[in-house]
Amino acid sequence: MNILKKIFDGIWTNNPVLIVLLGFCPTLAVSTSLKDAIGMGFSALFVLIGSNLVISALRKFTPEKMRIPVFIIVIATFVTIVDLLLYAYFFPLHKSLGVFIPLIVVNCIVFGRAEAFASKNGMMDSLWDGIGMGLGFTLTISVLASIREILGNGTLMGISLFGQSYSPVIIAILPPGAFLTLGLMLGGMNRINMAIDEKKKAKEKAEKEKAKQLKASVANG
Amino acid sequence: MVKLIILAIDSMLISNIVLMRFLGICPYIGVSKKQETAAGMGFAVIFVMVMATLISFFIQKGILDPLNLGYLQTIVFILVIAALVQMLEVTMKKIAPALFDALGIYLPLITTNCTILGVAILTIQKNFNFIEALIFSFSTGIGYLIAIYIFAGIRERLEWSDIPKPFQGAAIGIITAGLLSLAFFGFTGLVKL
Amino acid sequence: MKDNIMQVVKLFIVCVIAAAVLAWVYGFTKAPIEKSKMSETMDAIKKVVSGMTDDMTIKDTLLSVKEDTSKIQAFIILNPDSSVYAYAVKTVTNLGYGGGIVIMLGLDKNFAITGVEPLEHKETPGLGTKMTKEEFKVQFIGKSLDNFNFKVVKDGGDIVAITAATITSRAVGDAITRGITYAEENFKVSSDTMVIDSAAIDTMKSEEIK
Repeated sequence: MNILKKIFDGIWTNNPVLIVLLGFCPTLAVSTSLKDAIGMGFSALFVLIGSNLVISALRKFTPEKMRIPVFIIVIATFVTIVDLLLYAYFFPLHKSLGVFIPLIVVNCIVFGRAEAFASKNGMMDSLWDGIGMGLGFTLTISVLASIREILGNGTLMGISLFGQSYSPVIIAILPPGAFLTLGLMLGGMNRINMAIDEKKKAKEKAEKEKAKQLKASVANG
Repeated sequence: MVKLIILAIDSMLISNIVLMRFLGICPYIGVSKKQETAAGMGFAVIFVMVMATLISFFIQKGILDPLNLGYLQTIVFILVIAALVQMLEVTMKKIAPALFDALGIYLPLITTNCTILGVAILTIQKNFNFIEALIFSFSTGIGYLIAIYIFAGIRERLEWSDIPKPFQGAAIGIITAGLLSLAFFGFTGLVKL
Repeated sequence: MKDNIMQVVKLFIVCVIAAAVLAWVYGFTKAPIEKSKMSETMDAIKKVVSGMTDDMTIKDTLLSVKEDTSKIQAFIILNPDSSVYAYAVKTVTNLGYGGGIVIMLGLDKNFAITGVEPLEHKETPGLGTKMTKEEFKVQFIGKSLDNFNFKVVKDGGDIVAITAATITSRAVGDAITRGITYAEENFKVSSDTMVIDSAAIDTMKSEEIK
């Protein structure tokens, strides 16, 4: 298993938010500032790694019929751990993320990976899968947050970029802005992937043509 | 009394669970392609939401708080929801098989619907009493139904439109949700709490 | 049948381990969490009361006013000799655009404002949220009920409202008025001595400033 491929997979090819279409709730809600987005991403990453590892380790032990409750318990345990750690040591972040920390439990990304991958693969594979997906999620939410923070607040990571006179595009910070920006990102992602696909197809076609011509010349010659 | 009405309007429209609080979006995109299925999902959600909130409410006040087990809230709540949905599935299969078939796969999906867990936790955070919890969960559910029903209606009509290829599917769906959210923003200031 | 029992047993084992792990984590995070909860209030108090030093103590109490059943939280900052240095009042208003606003109000011993710090609110980002900026807050420093009318200019008062956020500005004025009123009604001692009689106040919790 290629670790780099796994990571690229999580960040682009199978980006949990933009391609697999999971985890919209926290992505939209926690993307008003880059700092919060990174905090959310890393919390989810922690849970992903933890739950993927444990669920993978338990995959032979877990009875088939009981796997949903077991997944739930394992994921919820890691989420609670993150919640407690944030409350104790990163209080401002805990306050910003609010109810979305416990909601990582029902974050379709975590559950989806547990069901689709961790319960069927070895521990090392599951670990890197968790990392890949977690990074993909963190990057996506960070890009969205950066756009929203820069446009809607004139700042990035709390640092003012344009000075006092900047008239912010308030809608970017408000809920509608979240939806619109994410929608545009989704469209953009699709467009890029379409372009890559078209290029690939054109290349394949050209090669087929060449092979055909080669065959024809061999047959004739 | 007035306070309760205001709470209801707020939960339903002003702080609409999907369009303002960002909960329940995953199934939103998946389920809202036809208005009938959207309505069915909405009603199922209302039912589970109210039951789950009330049960979790009692567990929190009766067991978790007195025993200082607050940190077990997440685990306990989600297990309650999962069990509730499971029981609902089994009961519905026996009592109303037609309805069960209609809802199909959407029933188990309710477990991972962030709205249910979100509302259960918010009820505790906002320190509601029993009546307030009841109104809050019920109105929020109705708000979910409204949002998802309108959304499905729009999407049905979008099927006939000429959407640029990159935006087909989820992308235009989310943008539509954004416009709907903008519309609902008009409700702010409707009532003064 | 045996299969089913095994399944439930396995599930139970997972539950028990999960609960044990959580209890352990909770064990060592409990203290820092308490500190986090308190630090929020402490930070707010430090922000609004100017010139606090380490040898002062804070007493926290609940204030109620005769006509109103709601209570608000107030803090008395005492000098080492138990004379009053300042007050901090966690005042609330329901007149915000998005509903409730909670403000930590700092008052010197003559009930003049030393600081205004919004703690919780649901005001519109970019508009009402400007109430947290210095440009808006600075107009309140040094003012008291005697020398300032806490209504917005539009309503005949002295508050310069935030552009396009009159409702928020009005709400802040309301919160501040209530805060000072509550403080004065409960703490104003008619005699010249500014020493608070500890027995006279119901709920007292002593908190050291770290």
